[in-house]
Amino acid sequence: MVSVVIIGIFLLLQKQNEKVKQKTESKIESYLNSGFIDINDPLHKIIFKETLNHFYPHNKSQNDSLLSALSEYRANRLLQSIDKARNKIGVDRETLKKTLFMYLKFIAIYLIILILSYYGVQTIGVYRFIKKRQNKSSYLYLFIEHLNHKPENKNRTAYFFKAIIYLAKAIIKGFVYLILFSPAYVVAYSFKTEINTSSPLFMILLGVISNGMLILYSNKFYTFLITESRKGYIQNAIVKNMDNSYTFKKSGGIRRQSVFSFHKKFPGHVFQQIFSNTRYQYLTTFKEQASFLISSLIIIEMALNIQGYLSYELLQEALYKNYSMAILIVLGIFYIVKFTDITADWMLYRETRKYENKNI
Amino acid sequence: MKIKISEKKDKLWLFTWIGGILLIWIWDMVFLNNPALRQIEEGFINTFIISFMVIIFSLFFAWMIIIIDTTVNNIRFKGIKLLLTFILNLLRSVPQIIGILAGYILLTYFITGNVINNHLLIILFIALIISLFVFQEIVDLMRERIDYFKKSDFFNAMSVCGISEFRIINYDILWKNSRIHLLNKLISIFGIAVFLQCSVDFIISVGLSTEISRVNLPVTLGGLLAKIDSKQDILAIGQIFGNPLYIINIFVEHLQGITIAFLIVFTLLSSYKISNGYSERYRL
Repeated sequence: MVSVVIIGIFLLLQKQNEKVKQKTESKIESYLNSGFIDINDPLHKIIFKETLNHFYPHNKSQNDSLLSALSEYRANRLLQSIDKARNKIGVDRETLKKTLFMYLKFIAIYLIILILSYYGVQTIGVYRFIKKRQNKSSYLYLFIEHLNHKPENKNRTAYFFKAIIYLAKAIIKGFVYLILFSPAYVVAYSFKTEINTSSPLFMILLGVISNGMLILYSNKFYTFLITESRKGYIQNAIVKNMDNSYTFKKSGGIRRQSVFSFHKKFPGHVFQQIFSNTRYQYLTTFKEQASFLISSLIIIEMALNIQGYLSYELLQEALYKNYSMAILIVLGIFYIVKFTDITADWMLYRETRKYENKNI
Repeated sequence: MKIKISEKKDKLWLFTWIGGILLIWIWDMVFLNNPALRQIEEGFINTFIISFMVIIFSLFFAWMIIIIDTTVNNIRFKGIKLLLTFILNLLRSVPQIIGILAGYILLTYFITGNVINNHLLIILFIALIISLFVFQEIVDLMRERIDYFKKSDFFNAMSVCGISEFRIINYDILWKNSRIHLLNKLISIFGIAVFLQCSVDFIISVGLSTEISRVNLPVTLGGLLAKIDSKQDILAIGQIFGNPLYIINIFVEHLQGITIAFLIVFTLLSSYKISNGYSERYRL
């Protein structure tokens, strides 16, 4: 239904574009071809403006618009000779081909970021949960605590060294937090002099770490883990002596490798149940995360103003008032959103059937 | 001491946010030129007002949807329900940033056509556009809370006692039992509004500059960041990697861009921390 609405708008705009273009151009050309006005001459321009204001004194703003339209028309004609493709209004095969390539590139970057963020969200969430269970305090708190317990004369160097380490770790953590919360354009401009910010690789990196996406959803995952760990069946399992140690070790406890692997498994540990059930809940928010990611990716491509990317093209089409092309790009993005929604629903359905002991 | 701090993390971060902004304001008064400082102040205030208005509008829209939901369910008017679902799905399917950009294009038409020419009206219109694309998060939360309570005995018990569904939903569920959840959601909506607003303002200032320059849009942090001198200030951060001592110059010579970027990032970080602390305090 949404597709029908968007395609309807597209066809309407495509038709209207032609009409408006013909109408405006014929009006402007009649002035330009009149022979007595040389719009390049500032004196002619002023005289023409005054004449218009004299004959149409109540339409001063429209007169100004006509003058700027004349100038714009001239500029456009000049641009047309430089860049013919840019001034095409409507959709033709060549533009469509170019846009399709950008669309595929957008999908590829989107999928890579989606997979990386899916992994990142779970890994950060799990890591934070384990650190919490290990009763690790924040570095800033440890630093303050450390300062409050001054040693005797002995070991003063070690004491100061440890304090500096805590402080440095706290500063690095704060810096990382700032990057994670920074909008992509702030991060990109900060590194622009050092790194090629227009490469797809940098785009992927920005998509994963910036705009607050990773930190927001990893926090959601962490909250789900905390809530799940408080449930009765987990307490019951702990009472029945299931492995509940969260120290990093190879046998018993948690394996560090398992935390960082893509398919996280914690066999024989109570955390396996917590993690499995949390991942199921996380799938319900995955749609939301994917939708946020698309917005985030569009912001990155538009804000960095890099040619050859779909969102930049969308912005340019809007700038040049080629709305039929813009609406076609929006339709393409809409399909990505819907495809992601369907995939997320399917994943959730699969998982739900597993929980309900039904065959898939 | 540790327990006390973790219990009041939200308040601590609220004061940290206010303190941080005051500190940077004092620093800017000393080192930043007056016209730039006035612009930053105006941009910050406008950004804050728009984001605050987004909260108000979003809450209002969400509540309206819930009222329509309840009414439509009672009269069993399937056509309206279908239309409402379609509109909500349409808004949900369009990425927020594209929807807001389209709204800005509409706004520029209104301004050039003299339909909207008042500064306050423009601010309200921007808030309205952003809230149209974020209010569904509140609708989802309200629906989730209503569904949760509808499954419990208390809903049926109250219905049997003759209390109207309208009162149970609006007063007993949303007001008495979901206020804290809603407030927590509104804090995060504030952060989202700041982020989206700054991003859109940045994008239109960078990408649509020739079009928008004809139109007088209110100064916001995103728009200010897109200015060439602010961007140069941000670019200067890169120099630290080659020359770490350059960091001293950053806080004195490149203050305009650094202040704006800091205000955006620090507000986003603080709203996240406040919202987190709040949910921890009330165990949401």
